[in-house]
Amino acid sequence: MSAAPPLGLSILLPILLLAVAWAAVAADVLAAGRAAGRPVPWAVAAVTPAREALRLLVGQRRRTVGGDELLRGVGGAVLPIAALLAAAVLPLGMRPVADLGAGVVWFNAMEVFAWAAVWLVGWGSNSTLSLIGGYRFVAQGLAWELPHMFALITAAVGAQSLRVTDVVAAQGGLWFVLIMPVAFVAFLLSVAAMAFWGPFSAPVGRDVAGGAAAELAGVDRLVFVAGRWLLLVAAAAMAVPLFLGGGHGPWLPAWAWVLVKTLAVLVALVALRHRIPTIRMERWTEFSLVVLTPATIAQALVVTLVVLGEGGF
Amino acid sequence: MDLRSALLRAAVGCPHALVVPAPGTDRLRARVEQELARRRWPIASAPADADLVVVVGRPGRELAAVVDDIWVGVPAPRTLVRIADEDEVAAALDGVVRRLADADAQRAAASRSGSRARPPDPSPGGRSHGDGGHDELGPGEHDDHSAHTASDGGHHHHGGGMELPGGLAMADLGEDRDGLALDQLHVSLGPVLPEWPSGLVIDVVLQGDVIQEARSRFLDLDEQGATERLPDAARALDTAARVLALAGWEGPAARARGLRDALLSGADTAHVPEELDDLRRRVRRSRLLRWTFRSAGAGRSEILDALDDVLASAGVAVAGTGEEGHVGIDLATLDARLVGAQFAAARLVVAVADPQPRPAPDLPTAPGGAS
Repeated sequence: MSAAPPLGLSILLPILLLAVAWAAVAADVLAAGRAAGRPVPWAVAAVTPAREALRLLVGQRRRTVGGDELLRGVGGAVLPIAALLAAAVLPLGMRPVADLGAGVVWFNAMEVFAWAAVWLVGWGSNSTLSLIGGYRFVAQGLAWELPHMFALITAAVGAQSLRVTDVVAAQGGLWFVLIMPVAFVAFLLSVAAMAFWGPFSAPVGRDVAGGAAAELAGVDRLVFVAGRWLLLVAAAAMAVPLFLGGGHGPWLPAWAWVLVKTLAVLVALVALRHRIPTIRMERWTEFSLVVLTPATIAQALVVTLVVLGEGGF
Repeated sequence: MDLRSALLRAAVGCPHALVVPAPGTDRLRARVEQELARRRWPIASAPADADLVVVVGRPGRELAAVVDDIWVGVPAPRTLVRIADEDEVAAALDGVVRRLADADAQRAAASRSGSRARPPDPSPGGRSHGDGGHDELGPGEHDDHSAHTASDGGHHHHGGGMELPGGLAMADLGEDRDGLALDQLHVSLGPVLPEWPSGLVIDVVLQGDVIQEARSRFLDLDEQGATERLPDAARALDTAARVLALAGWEGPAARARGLRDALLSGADTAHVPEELDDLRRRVRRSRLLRWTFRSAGAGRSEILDALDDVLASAGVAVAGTGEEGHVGIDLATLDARLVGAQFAAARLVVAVADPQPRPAPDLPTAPGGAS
């Protein structure tokens, strides 16, 4: 364990996360415009996140009859906090804010807060459509969590450590994405799923009029939506130290590599998102439990055998 | 103060619009949607997400009540626009940003609505706002109904007599499809839901998100004037756009809408047949769409077949060779199809069926090819 978290990095982390989330939203607006055959100018896309945030800041909050304000408020606030805490173990360059000995487990534990968050918001709104959105996410969560955990474990086994910086150090020669491609793909899928985003956006889908977020207005909606994007960014950024070699790379400094790789992962996710429809959660559950979970277990097994063969453990 | 008004103007510069169409105003609604898309104003999915309510056509008594209901749930700054004629569309939307940015007027209206949300006596429909716990309404907050779109008020409640303090009903108990006693919830879906047929309301009994009973009706049937139908090709594209949007495939949905608008404005339709073919090919080739639609309550990929038929009928209508296009189904058939469907599947079934207020009696009830 390192000593106290470096102050500079702790202050920098939320700013960086927000900046990258801003870029991701802008890229999403651009991609959506192109997919719709109605291209959006760069300048418009770049200011869209700020304008939407401002719109929600100005907007009035609202309550629902019989709604549980406390649960709803807690649920909304948990999303960005969980994203921030999960990102605390992200090496920005070679050093994270908190270099925990069980960093991989910490990251996983923080993400799982999203389950509670979305469910609480859906439940606390006391509205049918919000509730449907809430339990869609719980069903989806059960499906993405298993392959996700096996993907994380595979990376940890490959490095023989749960410390994220050790995982990065183990990729000095060969990136883990080449050794464990199945785990990488499963991880990327679960990144989108845990942020209930893109093909996994059924919990806030259009058919349920915004689902869990259907009753949120003003700053409540801002916190919820921003939390969701932060979660996506934090999880996508985690793919870099786990599978894409972290800060390793020629010419550029480590922090630049982390940034470039994170943006690349996000661009890939955004580009993919607008090519495919939303996956219904019952289909996803089936695929996840029947195909993805066994595949990630097999992947973990193969990596374990290789590590044992090389005299690890 | 200048900075504040500049910020406010920036904040409301791109308002989210909630479109509330009266039954039988498809053409006008399409025109409104086109104008909103041109301005890049997003379509709100729910009142909570809206800054602007656009009432399309002349609502009858029932829909007017719904609009009042929804209006309570729209957060300030907000404004309401009524559009009854195609010539008014652009002009009506032009004034919206200025009204939203008028801080003084908005503040005055906001505090008034805050008090309006606490009526002195409970309304007869069984809903009263503001129980004791809600007395600390700040100036920036107000009470309102839970679901405007799936409104719990009114005609639910066949069984239990328990009422929550908010005036909402408790769920009943009933047997589900596996013979378990589960909560039953009586809700009305519509008339203001994204991608929902104008003026349609379906009273459903939900268990979990499985529909146990469904009874659909159109609002204000007795007061309805002449319905203006979309031409066959535009109507089919409108239906396809809704199905695609519900499937979360926003790009192709927007393209279908663009084609519909091109046909309606009649300006430049040379590119339409080609793009329509392209769209149809994309839909048919999408393995993911086929896979995700397969478990639809209506059957194996029936929705996708119906969608393909809709697009095909649009192609036929554009080419001008066919005489009969996509025909909506009657409400009884729709009700029967909804029973046993999950919520997501039911939404697709409704969208692809696209019922109309008055189905032409002389046409056979051929559902959009789904059988």
